Amino acid sequence: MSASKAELSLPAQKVHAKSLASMKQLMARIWAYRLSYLFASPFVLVFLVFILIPVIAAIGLSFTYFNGMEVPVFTGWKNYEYLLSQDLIFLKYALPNTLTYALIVGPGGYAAAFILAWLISQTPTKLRTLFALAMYAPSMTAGVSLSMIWQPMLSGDRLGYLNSFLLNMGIIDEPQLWTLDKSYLMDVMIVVSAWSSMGIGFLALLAGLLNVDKTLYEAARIDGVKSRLQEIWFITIPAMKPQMLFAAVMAIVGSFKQGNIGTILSGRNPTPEYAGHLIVSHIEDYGLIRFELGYASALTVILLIIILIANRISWKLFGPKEGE
Amino acid sequence: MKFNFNTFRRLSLVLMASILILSLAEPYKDSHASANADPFQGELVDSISLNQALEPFYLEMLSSWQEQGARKASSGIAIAGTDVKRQSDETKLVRGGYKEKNNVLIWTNTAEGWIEYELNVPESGLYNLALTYHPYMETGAEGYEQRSEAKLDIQLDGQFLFREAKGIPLYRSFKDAFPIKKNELGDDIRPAAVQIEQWLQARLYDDGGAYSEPLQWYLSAGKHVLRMTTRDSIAIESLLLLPPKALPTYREVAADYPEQTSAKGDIIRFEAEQVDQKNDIAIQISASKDPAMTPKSNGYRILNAIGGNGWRDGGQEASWKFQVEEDGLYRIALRSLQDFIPDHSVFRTIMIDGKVPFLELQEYRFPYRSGWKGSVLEDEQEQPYEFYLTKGEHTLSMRATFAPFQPLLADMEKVILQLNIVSRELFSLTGGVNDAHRTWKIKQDYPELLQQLEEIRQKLLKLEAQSIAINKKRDNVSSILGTAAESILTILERPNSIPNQMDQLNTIRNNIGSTRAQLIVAPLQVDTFYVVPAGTALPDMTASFGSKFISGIQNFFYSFTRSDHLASGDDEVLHVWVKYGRDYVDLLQEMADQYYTPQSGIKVKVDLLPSEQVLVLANTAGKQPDVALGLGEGQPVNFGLRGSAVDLTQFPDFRAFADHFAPGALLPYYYDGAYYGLPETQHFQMLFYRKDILDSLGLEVPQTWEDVYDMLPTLAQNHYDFFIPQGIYLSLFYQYGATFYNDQGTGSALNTAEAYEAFRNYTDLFNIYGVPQQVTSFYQHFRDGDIPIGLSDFNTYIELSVAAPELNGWWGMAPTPGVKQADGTIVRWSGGNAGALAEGLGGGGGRGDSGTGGQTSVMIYEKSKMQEQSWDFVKWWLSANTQQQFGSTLESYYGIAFRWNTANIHAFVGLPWKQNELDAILEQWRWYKTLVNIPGSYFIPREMQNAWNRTVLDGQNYRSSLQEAHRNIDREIVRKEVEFKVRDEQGNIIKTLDPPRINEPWSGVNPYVSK
Repeated sequence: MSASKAELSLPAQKVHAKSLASMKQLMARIWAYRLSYLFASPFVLVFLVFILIPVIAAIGLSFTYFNGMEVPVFTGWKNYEYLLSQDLIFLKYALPNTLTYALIVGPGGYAAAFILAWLISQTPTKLRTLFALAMYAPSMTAGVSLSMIWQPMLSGDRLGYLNSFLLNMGIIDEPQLWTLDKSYLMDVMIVVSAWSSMGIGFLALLAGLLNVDKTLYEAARIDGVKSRLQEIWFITIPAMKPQMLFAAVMAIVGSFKQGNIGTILSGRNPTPEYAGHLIVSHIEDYGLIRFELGYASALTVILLIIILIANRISWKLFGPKEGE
Repeated sequence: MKFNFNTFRRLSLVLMASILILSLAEPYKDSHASANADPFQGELVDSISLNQALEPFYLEMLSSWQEQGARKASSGIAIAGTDVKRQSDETKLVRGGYKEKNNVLIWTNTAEGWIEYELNVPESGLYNLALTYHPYMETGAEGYEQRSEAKLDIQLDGQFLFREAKGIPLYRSFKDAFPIKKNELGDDIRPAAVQIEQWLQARLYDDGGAYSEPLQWYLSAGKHVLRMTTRDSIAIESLLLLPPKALPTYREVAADYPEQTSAKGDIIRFEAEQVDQKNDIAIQISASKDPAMTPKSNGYRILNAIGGNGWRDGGQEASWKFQVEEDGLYRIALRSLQDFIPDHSVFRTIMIDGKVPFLELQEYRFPYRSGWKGSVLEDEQEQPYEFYLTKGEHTLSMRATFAPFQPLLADMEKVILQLNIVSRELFSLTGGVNDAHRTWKIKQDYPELLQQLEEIRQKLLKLEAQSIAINKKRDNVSSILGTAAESILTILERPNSIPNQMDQLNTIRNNIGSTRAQLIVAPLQVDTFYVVPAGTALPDMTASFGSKFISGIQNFFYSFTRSDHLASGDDEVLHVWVKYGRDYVDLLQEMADQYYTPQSGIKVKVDLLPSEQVLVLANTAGKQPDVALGLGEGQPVNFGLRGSAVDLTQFPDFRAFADHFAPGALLPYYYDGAYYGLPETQHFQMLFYRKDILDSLGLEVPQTWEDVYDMLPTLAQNHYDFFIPQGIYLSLFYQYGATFYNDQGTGSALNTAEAYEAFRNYTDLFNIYGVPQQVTSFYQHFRDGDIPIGLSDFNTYIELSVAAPELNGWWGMAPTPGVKQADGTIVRWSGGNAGALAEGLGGGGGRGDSGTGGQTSVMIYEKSKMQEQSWDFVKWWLSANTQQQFGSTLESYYGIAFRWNTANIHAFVGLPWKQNELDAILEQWRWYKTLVNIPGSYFIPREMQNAWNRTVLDGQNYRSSLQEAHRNIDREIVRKEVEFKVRDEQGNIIKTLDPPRINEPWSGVNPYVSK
């Protein structure tokens, strides 16, 4: 710090020579910390190869016509024009569906994760591990295993567990096609996603809850906190803000990234009458079925923007405020 | 719409409630009255009489003949093969010389035909039938060499005397083309199997080896007519009636041995893989890494044994030649592996010089033993048998059999039948509804039911004991039988809850059925044989722990030297990427090394393609194979459109070659005058039905959709359903004369009157006729019996054949229902999987509604530098010979679950189908028609499903619903055609695609259809 102050006070004509010197100095400092770059390099490399380069490539491809086999052809803003003016399925189904889905599954899943984590944190240690595992396990199921579990449950014939149960109770009088009927599919998707949403965010919350300093609660009780709810509000939540933020980002970003759950449940791609058509399914539709990878890239760029916005909102809500 | 639907729902709820209240007001009376009148016994008799439709087992027939005092005949007669009295088709018969014999009957068939002989039987008695025959060797016009055995159905005086009189095999004989060659990795290449040309005389056995003796037929003195029916070709010199042989016991034989004949000299050793003759190419030589094998593997794949899972079906026989230096008594030992099925014994008929030397070797037992072990042929007291061998060459043969288990299997079938009847009675009693609130008085009202179950339990206990007695050890089968008996006991303890235990009974039945698969196979693998002079000690035949340990470590390190990745690129080797399972890939590589490379000089490297997505990604990365196999039916055009697949019409002989396939199967590969692929397998929709249930309801198998509508009310009254998959729209649209595209192939044609009619019929099935809208597993419902009839694909055939043995013989397969035309013909268009067109690379589009899978296809890459060679390889691969051999080898290795559904009709009919199955499939094959793939066609399945949803679930009028689909499809097609320059930017048509129209059934199946 003191060195830079000294530089600022030097006369202008010497700046050039000085800046050369400072360059030298900078290089020297970079060299001095050379070991740190070795430590940083795994992340930097992986970030470059798997995140940064693909994102740049996608942005680049989004301005081209690319069918996956022939050389991409530059087409300017055409893909974006089409997206805004002609892609009815995107505007009519994919976008509203994704927003509905993400708004319910994201914040809803987040709240549920917090409540469950809090409840589990109240149980004795041995039971706690068991419960945590039971809650966490569904988030590891995906694809085939997910459909194996839910298909018998939601099967549209009389033998489906849900149908069979409701028929026996006399609530419905004919089997319902839970995964094919457009009026049910979105609800079913939301329930199944909620079931499998207790993932890494949930574990973070649980860890956060268990990390809160016990003495704080004792102190609070002396200071006049009367109920558990007050404890949560005044002690627990402020004490675990980092975990709250992490879980929120994971939940909300995660819910936008969901795509094929409707296809897995209904066995149709795309989902019946686009009832469960999300942006990710739309991307797959264009990329892998219609072989229009240029346009699919444009869609991913849009999705990236939406996720960035959602991310900002999460930060606004849960991120560290001024002075914290 | 939705509102109306809901009010309807609410209304019906109110209605239901009021009915419930009314019925409560009048409790029990009604149900009791009907229950007492229930003709439980009467229906039982019906069901049993149905069983009579299946002929009795040979076993039962033989014992009934013996009870009636029939004895073995003492002399035989011979009839010249040319002495045919009547025949189905004179043109198929040639009397003349064949393979060094004069005046024989040469009988060539492509479809089923029959001939009749007259027998003048001198004395009443039991006879063996025998034939002197030569397997038909000539290749037909297709260059197709038949390698599977001919199968005969034999009727006497117009009747099948027993069930086993059908499908009697006339084996061929093969040898391996030694010496064994090695590939560049140092692994052995399995030698090709070559047919041996020779006249054979054989007594007729059953198919499958259920009996270790030739079949005996009771014939009274006098004239009889013998009819042989077959669809294979054969040359017959004579038909013989021979007196059955009686075998002496070992004690009797040993008593006759010359005295003082203990041979001295060395142990005679011969390798089992050096097989001299085998009657089935499925008996293949194999490689094992056990350290005591001869020759030793040393980490390579060295062919050092024979058999295993390829030598497990009854009737399969292999023989070896060996040289004896000195007359004398010898013992026979072998080093073998028999741990394929835990705790299960397998049997072999062992012959020396073509004869079973004594009774004990008729069904010689190889007990379960883990790992490679040596054993000597010995009696139950572990006293080795001794054989008197003279100096010179001898033959040792072993034939697989499961004869000792056959009585068990016959009894088990009866128990399953009885359980079927009980569960069907229960089903009609309860209406398939598991009502926990209903009180039953079983003991009082249905005492027969309890009797039946108790009887079944007793039988099961007996079967359990019997199976342990045969196997000499408790195994999986006896445990299942024991558990089943126990479960029934538990059920019987609470008789009043029996009606709620239907599922339990079905499970018991299925478990018993599942044991069959284990009982009818007898896998055994052999390394080496030893013929040991009687006085000499046996050689050591088991690997020690130390040597096993060391060789394990060696093999671990050798495994790193193997390369196993998707290879591509170089110019000398043809790279083939295959999207089938590992077993398919290995077999294809082996067959290419065995047959293709020696013949063409082109080296082939086959690799497994894990998913189609890899094809596109690898293509972008500049890597690609020369040929890709196993692709979905939509892919070749997807690649062709984008300049990545070769237009096969550029090869001059493409037209001629493509004629081997149903024209309807070529449709998905057509685009704008070019063909970008060829079909490997086809995808059929067939009608599956339960014979027992349809019979008990008095229903016929429906031929037209009208028939289907007529039978639906009867099914519904009896609480049964009919399964129709949602993906059936393709068939219906074609059958009602609608097309999906206009004539130029530039837009949708779903706005025609025919299309509306087809769509109305399609949706009415679900809306009016109450066909279940979604069925998770047709197979399971079919097996349980609540959906006794339905349309499904080839997978169901395999599932039922493999996994539902308890239904064996109780279900049938028929062509799909069609639409009757003015001239009386029934149009049955169907085929492919339209859903697969929409599958793209993400997968998932074809599941559920239209059935999994679809046609699989071959494609050649545009970037390949070896296009000519690729085409040559494709022609070899799709040829009848290769396809048939691939299919039968696959099946003999892994069972019917791997039935190869080849698109090559010559190869297809060569697979082991039952005649009635084949007839049904061929009729459907005639009407095979898939969907042409044009840009945007992936929208058709999607929009058709959406239209189904709108009409069936949302209640939208069928017209407006289909209209909407038509508009959407059209819009997408236009958009895509602009992309591919079929239209200009303004959407004006630049060129037409002219998809082929197929309006006539394929006549290519005619040669194979029985008249």
